Amino acid sequence: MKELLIINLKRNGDIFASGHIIRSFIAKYPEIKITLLVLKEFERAALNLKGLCEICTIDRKKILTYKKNKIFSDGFALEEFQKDISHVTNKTWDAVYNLSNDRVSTHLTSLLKNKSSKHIGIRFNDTCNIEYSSEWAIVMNDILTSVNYAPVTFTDTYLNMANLKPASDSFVLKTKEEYNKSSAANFSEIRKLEANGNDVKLIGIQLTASTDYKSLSRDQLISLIDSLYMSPNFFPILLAAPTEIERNLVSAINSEFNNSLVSVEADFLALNSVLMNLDLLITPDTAVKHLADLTNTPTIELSLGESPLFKQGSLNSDSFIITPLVSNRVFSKKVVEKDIALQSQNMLISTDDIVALTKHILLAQDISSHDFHPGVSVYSVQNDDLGTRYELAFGSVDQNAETERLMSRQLLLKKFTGSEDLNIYNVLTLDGTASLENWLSETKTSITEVSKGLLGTLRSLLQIDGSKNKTSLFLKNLTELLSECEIDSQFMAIPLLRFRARIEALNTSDLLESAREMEALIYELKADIQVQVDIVKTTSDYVRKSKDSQRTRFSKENHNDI
Amino acid sequence: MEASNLSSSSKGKTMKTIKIDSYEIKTSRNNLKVPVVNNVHLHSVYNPAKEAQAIVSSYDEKLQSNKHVLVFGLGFAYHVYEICRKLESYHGNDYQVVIIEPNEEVYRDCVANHLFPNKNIKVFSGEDLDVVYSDITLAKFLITKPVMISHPPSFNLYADFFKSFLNYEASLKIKDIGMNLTNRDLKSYLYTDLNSESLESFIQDNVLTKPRLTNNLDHLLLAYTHLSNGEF
Repeated sequence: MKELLIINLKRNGDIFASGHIIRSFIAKYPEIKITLLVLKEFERAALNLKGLCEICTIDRKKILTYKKNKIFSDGFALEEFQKDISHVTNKTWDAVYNLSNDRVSTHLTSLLKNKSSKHIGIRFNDTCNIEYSSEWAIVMNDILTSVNYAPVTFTDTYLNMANLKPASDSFVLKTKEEYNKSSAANFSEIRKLEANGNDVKLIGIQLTASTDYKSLSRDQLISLIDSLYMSPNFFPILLAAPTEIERNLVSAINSEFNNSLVSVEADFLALNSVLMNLDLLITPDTAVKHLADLTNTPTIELSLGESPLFKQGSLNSDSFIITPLVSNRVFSKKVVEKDIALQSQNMLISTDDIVALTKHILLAQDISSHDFHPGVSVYSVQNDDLGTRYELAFGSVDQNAETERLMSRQLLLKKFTGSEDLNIYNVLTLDGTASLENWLSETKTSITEVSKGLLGTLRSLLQIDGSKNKTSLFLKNLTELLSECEIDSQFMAIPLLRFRARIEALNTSDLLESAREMEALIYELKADIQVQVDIVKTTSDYVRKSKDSQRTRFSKENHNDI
Repeated sequence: MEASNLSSSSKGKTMKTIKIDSYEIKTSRNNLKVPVVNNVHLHSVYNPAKEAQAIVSSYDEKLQSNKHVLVFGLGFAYHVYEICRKLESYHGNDYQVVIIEPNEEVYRDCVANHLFPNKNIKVFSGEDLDVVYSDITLAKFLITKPVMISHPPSFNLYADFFKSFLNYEASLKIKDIGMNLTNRDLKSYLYTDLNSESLESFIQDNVLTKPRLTNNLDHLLLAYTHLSNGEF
């Protein structure tokens, strides 16, 4: 592959995150020329990435100004759009990667059909049905958008869509030598000044996120900074973007400490150098978190509001994520924006919890006896054959939510790699089996129900002969089967979501003609359900073993007591 | 930018609503030319330059922070000279002034009398509003959100014209939209349904209701629609 176009029409954080994909492409195809198409307003983030041959932009703001203002002809808006995209439509591509997976990028990918040898992700065909480049594109487009607790991260899904391996060793961010030198020199000076015989760790604190409810309150920030400041091992450094609002916030916080705090005002480029010289970053901001992932800076991510915790959490294995209990969260901006209770969840994050976690990360302190604030969970970042896996490390747990998430991951693992992560079974049986037994019972019932629906649909499909009655019966059965996509259990929903995506992508203008394809899809669904059955069976074995060993332990204890 | 005169002969009809009953050029007491239209003196008959300074002085702060200025009324440009002088002191040569002067004769005489400052200025004069607004350079200029300065005597004299200018609404018709497109394929495609009342109705009738997207430009139009409606 030589000429690759990546379309990413999302925001700064997502553009940084595409750095993982860019470096993997470069690692696999050293001669590749990558062009990135982004919205003009987020070009700054794209300019921060190394390895790009060209950055093309769509000036959405200008287009909207022409479109919304009645004095301008709509022709200006359309002309501007056409000119912007002509930079990519006038070329031919070996592949077009629809990374942002939205309607605009999907139509652009479709527009480039005749100009590209292949697409990665999704595009529309002539009838506006979706053409998936691979099974992973279905995961991205239909599964991750429907389930509550994503079983796999966006980054791993993107990598798998393009059949790439992570290239964590390559550095994909641009830096300036002078920023690197000044950050290293200044931070080394702070370490010396604050040492007093201790090994001082420098902790960057990103003060704000895109909304207030995703950030710590000013009082929380002051309390956190104070605790770190008073610790002999830590020295907090306030990180601020070069904006008036952040400058004022830094100044207000610093005044509480007699202006003794150190703050760094940095744009994205300078921030890369700063992050590389920190021991730890504490951030509620997703864009900065993505940069920290790319600089391998250990991070405590405060996941609040609608931040997509399991889709786009920290990826660095030294990082941790603090979140309100996931089953109490809603990952929809529209919902959170209207719900004060959801917005107030940031008040659950306590200074003591962050400091305890900081000691655990930087000083390897055992914090198993620390009581995290009720309703707060802490996840660590692990890895398996699918990539990043989040594992509950401390704090509160909703066992059913964890089971659903991890079993969904097991399902994808088995489907895509043929292997299983036995650790998932161990993790889920670690603290007793009651909840898991309940889940097993419900899942077995659901599998039976879905299987019945599947067989009914298959039977009625095979009986289709062109008559209205038989066609209606099949459509009724199919509709009922597809309605199971709304089932509460995401473990159960995943194969059905995949099935629905495939069915919707079929050209069903002639049912008889597509009957064979439908039959094949129903058999594929059956195979997926068989994978679920296998997982349920293995889980049952683990539950049994766990109970056996419990019984043996009790019996030994009783014997000793006697 | 060079001063440019979009003469009525080359660019459509002159604004009909401006009724000029009389026009003469007088000389002020300090020996400067002053146009008089319909018995309205467009500049002070005592000291036009000093009057211009007074008009522009109230915009000083805005001219410091914005290098784009839209002027309603040229007259003999004493105020424009003052605006340019201030802009130059704040922004060097990096500024832009656009002037809307409905009376083409006044503009012509301003140039003929060597009173036109001729620096980074574009004048729209004597044009129909549809022609003025179809100029992409004006559109590009207007989206920079320029400072708007009116020359009071001109603004009052041509009040109806300037009101129409400020309340202008562009045609939504597909034939007019097509005029602003440079891409021939796209233009030809839109012109396949010249009766469409708007771009939205073209897309509705010619793209969305089709069983198959047979023209590759359909995807361009749909991408544009979703982008401009904020539907990602």
